[in-house]
Amino acid sequence: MYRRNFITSIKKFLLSLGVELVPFASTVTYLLVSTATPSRRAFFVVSFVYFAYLVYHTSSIKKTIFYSFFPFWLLNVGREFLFVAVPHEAIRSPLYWEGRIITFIFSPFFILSITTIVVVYALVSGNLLKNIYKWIIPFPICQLFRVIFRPIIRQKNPIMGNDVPHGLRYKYLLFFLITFVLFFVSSSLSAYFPDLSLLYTTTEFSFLAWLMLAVVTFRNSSNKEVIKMLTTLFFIFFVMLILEAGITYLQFIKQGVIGLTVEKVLTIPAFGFGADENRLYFRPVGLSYHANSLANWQVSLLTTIILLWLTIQKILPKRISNFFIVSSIVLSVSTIVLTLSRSAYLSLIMFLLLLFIFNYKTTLKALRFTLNYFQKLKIPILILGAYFIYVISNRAFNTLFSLSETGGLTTRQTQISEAIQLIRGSPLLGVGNGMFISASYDFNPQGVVRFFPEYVHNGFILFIAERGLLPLVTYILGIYYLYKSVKESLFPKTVQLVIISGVIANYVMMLFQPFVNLFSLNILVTALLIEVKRHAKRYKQKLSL
Amino acid sequence: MPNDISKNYPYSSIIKRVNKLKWVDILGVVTFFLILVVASFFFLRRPEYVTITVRLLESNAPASEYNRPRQLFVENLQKGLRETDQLGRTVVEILDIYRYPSSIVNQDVFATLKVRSIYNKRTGQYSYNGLPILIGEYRSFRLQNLRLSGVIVDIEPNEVPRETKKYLVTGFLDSRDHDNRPPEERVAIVDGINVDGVKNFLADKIVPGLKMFDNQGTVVAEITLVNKTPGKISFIQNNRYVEVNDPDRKYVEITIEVLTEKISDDYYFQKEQALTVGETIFLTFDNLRIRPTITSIKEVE
Repeated sequence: MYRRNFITSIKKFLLSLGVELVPFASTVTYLLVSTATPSRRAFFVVSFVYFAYLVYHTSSIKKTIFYSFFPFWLLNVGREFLFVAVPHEAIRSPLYWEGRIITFIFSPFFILSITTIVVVYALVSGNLLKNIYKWIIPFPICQLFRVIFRPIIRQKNPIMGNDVPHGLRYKYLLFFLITFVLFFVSSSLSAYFPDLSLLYTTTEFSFLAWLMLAVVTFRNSSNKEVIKMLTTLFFIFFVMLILEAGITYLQFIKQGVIGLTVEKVLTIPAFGFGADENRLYFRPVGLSYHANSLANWQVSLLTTIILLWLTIQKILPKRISNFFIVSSIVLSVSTIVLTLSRSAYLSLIMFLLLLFIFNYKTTLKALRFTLNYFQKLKIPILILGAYFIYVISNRAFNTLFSLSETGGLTTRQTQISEAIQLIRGSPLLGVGNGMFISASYDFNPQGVVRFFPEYVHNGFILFIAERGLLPLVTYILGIYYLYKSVKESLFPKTVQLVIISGVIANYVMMLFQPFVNLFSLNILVTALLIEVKRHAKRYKQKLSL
Repeated sequence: MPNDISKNYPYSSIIKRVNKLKWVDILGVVTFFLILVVASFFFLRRPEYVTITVRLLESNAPASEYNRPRQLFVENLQKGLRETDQLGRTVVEILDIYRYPSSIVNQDVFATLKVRSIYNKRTGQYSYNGLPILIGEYRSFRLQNLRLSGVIVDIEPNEVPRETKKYLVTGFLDSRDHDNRPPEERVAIVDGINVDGVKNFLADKIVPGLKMFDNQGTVVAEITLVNKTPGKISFIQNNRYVEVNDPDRKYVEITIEVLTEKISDDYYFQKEQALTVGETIFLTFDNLRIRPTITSIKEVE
């Protein structure tokens, strides 16, 4: 009886927030069940059941992909296929006792990526075909086609309706698509594991495909539905954040990985070989491969959550809305702090600094509000703060050793200079997505790869080395037009600032880490919000934008 | 009227929802399901246990004396030691350890492992942890708190034991191989003196009945006959060749019964030592190591 009441009250609460109940509840269940699943095979089954149930309930593959894409991405585990990029006899570091291995993971996320691309392709090509046959084939023949196919293709069929690629009107999307075409060309021409490189690019492309699908879905949805979808997406991200932060805290307490099936690492990764970190301190990795990777994802997730919150805050009750944003910030920032990622600290500082400089009134107000929010928790916060200060200062002290002869700085400099040599070899299209290590070993087996066979710790140089200058040019054009769209869309100043600061925070991370944050979550959500804003007439009543 | 029929139908709500699906929804579901089904052919490949033999080596280098595992490591190798996955299934297990116990620090050790692997019918390869298991390849395996590394020498070893044969090997102990001189000084005449025979402390230790065992208790070598005669020193003095008995040395001739295994078409002692007249054979007993030069070989009937 109590249980039934409890469930009913949760249902009522979620409905009052405007969340789509079943997709949200099934996503939460999926995340929880997957976390507890004992084997990867069972995880595949759970993923399929979740996917099938979403399709069944929403009666829409587009909505299903819209909701399930990022939960699937978060739990990206499955069967790993290993490729030896550098043989172990060529490496002098004891860390690589099996050589430097690059992997491809066949996971439910990969299956969903392919499905997303296929669905988008079907929608786009359907519409293109429609236009071509309208323009090229003479009218009587068109009529004949209509008569023949009418029983099969309904009048309101997505491919024939106003369903599809209005997105192509957007210049930024066009340039992003060209960028990906160049990525595919670069990968297929790669001299090192071209098939693997193509798989990497395909998976990356699915993020853009998700955006296109989301835009299409929004265009075909009513005002009410769009608000519901945005709210549900916000809460799905919030649950994902809780899950990952929870796992990170547990890892921090245990000082090691927990041993869950969904964790991407099974053993404690070795830290401190660059002499710039304490080897006795475990840096939690969450559901990622590395602490820095976790921090990188958290930075973009935080920006995204803030963006979505700014969009829907007015439709939520004030107290609840404040609770969710403060909790998100606390969870995300504490996770980033625990990772001890210096570049993520810099990104966050840069993000806050930009907000402060360009909109100090709102930022100060937000800070004051957050501090007031935790008035009652002064003592625990002070204790935690003292601990964090100790850990961070320890990290800062160890950072001084980066400047030594064998420190991280020298290694990074050597890596960069070798990467520049690599770029000179294939400047236009690079060596292929994900193939930097193989290429640098091939290029100079006696170089830095001998003791540090890793991707160059600069996302921009890595991008140029792997994918070339041509895609960089088209990407810059794409980002320029996206920026123009943001400006033209007349977002409120705070939203614009969060968008731009978020993108800059991504790029700051790229300056020091081997991450290519060119199509990160906050950029995708920005594009999505532009779509929402362009239909302001339809949405203006309720959204905060 | 049709609505009424659908209401009465037991799965009417399901049918209603399925009817709502557009072709693109069906395409999406079919794509997802198809990839999953095709992939499941790979996933449902049952892992098989493959038995492999690994010759343990400390690093990926030729099997020199210094690259063999040390006693300190060998004592941690236990039959039955296993690594399990999260479901408690055995991933790697030591089935057997084969070695020749002796006082040598770096020893020849062969480990027979049961490895959970995937068999690829097309390539005929077993793979473990995503990488193929290949004879001749240096691989490492984690077993609890132990890392076992070495060169794979056999995959699915034949259950039938190798053919063995006993030989009677006659030989003598050459002073050059037993004086602990560096290799460059191992010449017949050192400082103008020719030495014949080994030091007494070594010769006295060599007695009939000395046995060499493997770790399963099988006698692999036994000294059956020892013939000791006084050692000699010969030199040239005042243009005369002088040969005198050396009270500190004895010339030792021994007959050893050795157990050999057939590998390819030849028989080898301790899997690697060929029996060749004129060459030495390395024997290790408790606190004693000798390297007699073979003078004759006779098969034991």
